[in-house]
Amino acid sequence: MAGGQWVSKRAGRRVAIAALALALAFGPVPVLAQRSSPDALKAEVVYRLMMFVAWPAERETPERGLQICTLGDGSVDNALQGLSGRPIRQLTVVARRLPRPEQFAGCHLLYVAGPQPALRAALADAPVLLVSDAAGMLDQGAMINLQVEDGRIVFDVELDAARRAGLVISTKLLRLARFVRHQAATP
Amino acid sequence: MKPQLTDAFDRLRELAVAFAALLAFAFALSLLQTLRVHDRQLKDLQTQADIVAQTVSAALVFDSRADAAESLAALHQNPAILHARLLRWDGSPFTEYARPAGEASRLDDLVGTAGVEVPVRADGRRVGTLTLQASRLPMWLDLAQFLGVTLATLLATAGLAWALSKRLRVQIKEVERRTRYLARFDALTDLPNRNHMRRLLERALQQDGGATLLILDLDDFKQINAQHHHATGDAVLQAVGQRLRLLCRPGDQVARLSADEFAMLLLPRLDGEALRAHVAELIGTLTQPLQRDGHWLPLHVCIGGATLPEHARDASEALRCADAAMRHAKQLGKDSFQLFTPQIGEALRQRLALERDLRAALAAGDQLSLDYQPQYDAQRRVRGFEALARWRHPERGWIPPTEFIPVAESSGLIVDLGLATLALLRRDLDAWKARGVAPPLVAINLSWEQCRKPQHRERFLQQLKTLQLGPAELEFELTESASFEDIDKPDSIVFTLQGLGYGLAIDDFGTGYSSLAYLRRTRCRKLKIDRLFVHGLSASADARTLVESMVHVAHAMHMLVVAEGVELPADEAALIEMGCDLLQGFGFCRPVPPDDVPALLGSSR
Repeated sequence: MAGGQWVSKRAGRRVAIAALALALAFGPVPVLAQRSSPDALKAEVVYRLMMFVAWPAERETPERGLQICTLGDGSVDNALQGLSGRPIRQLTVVARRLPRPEQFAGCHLLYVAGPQPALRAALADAPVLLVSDAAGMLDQGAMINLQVEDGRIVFDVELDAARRAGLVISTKLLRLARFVRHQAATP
Repeated sequence: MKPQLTDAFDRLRELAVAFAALLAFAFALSLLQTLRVHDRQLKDLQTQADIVAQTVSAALVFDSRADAAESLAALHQNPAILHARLLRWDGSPFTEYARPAGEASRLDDLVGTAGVEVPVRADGRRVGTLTLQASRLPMWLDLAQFLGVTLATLLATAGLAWALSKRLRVQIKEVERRTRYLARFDALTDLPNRNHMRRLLERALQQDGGATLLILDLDDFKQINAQHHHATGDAVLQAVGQRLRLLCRPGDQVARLSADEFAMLLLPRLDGEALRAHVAELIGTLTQPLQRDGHWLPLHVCIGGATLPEHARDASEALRCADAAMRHAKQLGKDSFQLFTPQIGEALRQRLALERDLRAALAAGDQLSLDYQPQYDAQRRVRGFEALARWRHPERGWIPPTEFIPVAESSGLIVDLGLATLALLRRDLDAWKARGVAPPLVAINLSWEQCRKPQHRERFLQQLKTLQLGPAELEFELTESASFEDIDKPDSIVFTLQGLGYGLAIDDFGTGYSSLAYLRRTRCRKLKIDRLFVHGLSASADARTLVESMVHVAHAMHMLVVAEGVELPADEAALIEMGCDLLQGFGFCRPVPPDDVPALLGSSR
C-alpha cells in the first residue's frame, strides 16, 4: 500500500483500488475496461458499493428496482446513467435524472456533485444514500464520498448519517473505507 | 508340577484373551473416533473457510489485496492451517497465506493434509474461491490422546477387576488344590486313599523285586465309636495313621482304605522271618493303648499280607488277597497276622463263587425258601414263629445260613435277600390263608446292613407296603442290634418301624455289644435271650441267676422275654418258673417248612 496509507481516528481503514484491476476483478459484471476514465470508474465503484448497502425492506421491491438519481449533467452523472439495467440482489438498477432536486422521492441513491443545502434540509432523514465525490462533502450531508488518492479511488463513510436514514452499510464495506465517521456511541 | 504348569498356561491364555479383547475394543473405539475426528476437522475447516470467505468478499470486490492478505493472515491463529489461497472468479491467484516454514514441523509432512475449497460470494454472486490446507497433525494428536486415555481407562478397569477378583481366584485355586488332594488322599489321616494305593500297587508291580502288601484292620473299632464320641474314633484313626507313618521304612507307603482299614506297602519286599519280625513290631507299636479324655483306649489290630507278584498280578487282586488274609487273621484272634496262602485263596474263590451263586439264586427265585420255628408259651401253645432263610443250591444242595448269610452281608446282597424274604413270607401267608389257617406273628431278622443306606431303607419300607405286610402279620428281630448306628437319629429305621406299629425284638441278647442303656433307648417289645445262657441253665446256679436277672430287667421294662435254644425239659421247667414268656428251641420243635405250619397250629390248639 505504498503511499496510500491514511489512518482514521476511529475506524483506521485504508483502501486503494487500482483502476485497471477493478474491471478485471469483477467478472460477471459488464466490463468497463475501455472506459477507464476516473468518472467511469467512480460509477463502477458506486455500483459495487450498492452491493453492500441495505435499504429498509419496504424500499427494496422488484417492481421499482434500485433507483440511482442524478441532478446535474456532469461526466459522473452521465457515467452513472450507464448502470441502468445491471442487477443487484434480485433488483435491477434504474438510473434517472431528476428534473428538480425536490423530486427525490423513490430514489435509493442520490449523486450530488457539490453542496446542496436546500436539498439536504428536504431530505432530512429520508432513506436515500447520498453519494458525492467532492472534497468535504461528508460535512455537507454525503454519506459516502469518493476520492482519488495516488491514482486510486478511495471512499469515506459518514456512518451516523446513513444510520439516521435507516440504511445499513455492511461492515465488509466499512473495512475497506479510508475513513469512517462515526460519532454515535458504540452501536 | 504338571497341573501347576497347566494352570500357569491357562492363566496366561486367559490374560492374553482379555488383553486381545481390550485391544480390539480400544481399536474399534479409535476407529470410530478417527472417523468422527476426521469429519469434525473437515467441518471445522469448512466453517473457518466460510468465515474467511465472508470477510474477504468485499476485498475481492474492491480489489484490495492488502485487506485480503490481512484477513488471510488471521488464519495464523489456527496452527493447523498451513496454506490458504484466494483466487479470483476466473481462477487467477489473488493473494495467499502460508504458515512460516519454521513452524511447520516434519511431522506435518508425515501425517498429510486435509483441504477444503469454498466459494467467495458477494451479493449472491461468486466472486472468487478460497482454498485452505490444514495439517492433520492436530487430528492425529487428538486421536493419540484419545487412544491413550481409552487404553489407560481400560487397563485401569481391568487392573481393578483383576485386583478385586484376586481373593476369588485364590479361593478357586484352593478348592482345586483341595479337590486334587481329596481325589488321592484321606482328609482325616492325611494318608493316601484306596485309589492312590491302587496306583502305588500298580507301579510296584511294574518294578522288579516285588513288594509286600499288608492290610491292617482295627478290632472293635465299632465299639470305640459306639461307646465314645465319633471324635474319639477320629482321634484313634489319626493316631493309628501317625504310628504307621512312623513305622515306615524308606520306600514304604501307607494308605487308609476304608473306615478302620489301613494298608502298608513294603518296598522292598520282606519275606519269611524278616516279615514276621516286622509285623510283630507293627503290632507291638499299634496296640499300645491310646490315652484320650482321661481314658486308656485298648487298641487291637489284625493284619493280612500278600506278596507281589507271587500272590497277585494286579492291584485289585493284591488288595483282595491281603483282605482275605486279614479276614482269616481275624478268625485267629486279636492282634494276629496271616500271610496269604493258597488255602485262603481257595476259600476266597469259594466265597466269591458263593456270592455269584447267591446272586443267581436271588434272580432265579426258586432256590430260596423260608422255614418257620415256632415259639411256645408256658402251656406249649404256639404263639409265634421265627422265619429263617433257607437256600437250596442247585448243585451243592442245602447251604447252611451260617455260610451264606455272612457272604450276603459282606457283598451287600443282604439287601436283596431281605426283600426276597419278605416276598417269600407273603407267599406263605397267602398259602396258609387259602388253607383257612390264621398264623400268629412271624418274626423276621433285620440286620443293619440291610438298611444302612437311605435308598435301601426306602426300598425295604416300600416292599412292606407293596406286599401289604402289616404289624399284625410281622415283627422284626434286630440282629447284632448294637450295630444300628443311627439309633439316635429321628429317621432311624428302628423308630420308623415302631412308628408304623411293627413290634421289634432284640435278638441274641447278652452276646455282642448289647447294653442295658441300649434296651432303654430302643423300647423294643421283646427280648430274646441267647442260647448260650439258656442251654443247661437248670444245672448251673450262675447261669440261672444271670437269666433270672435278665428276665427281671426285661419285665421291669415291660418287655416279653423269649428264651432261645431250649432243648432240655429241665431248662424248660426252670424258665417257666422264672416267668419267661416264650420259649423256642429244638426241644419243642425244629424249624419246619411252610407246608407243615398248619399242622403245628392245629396240634397246639
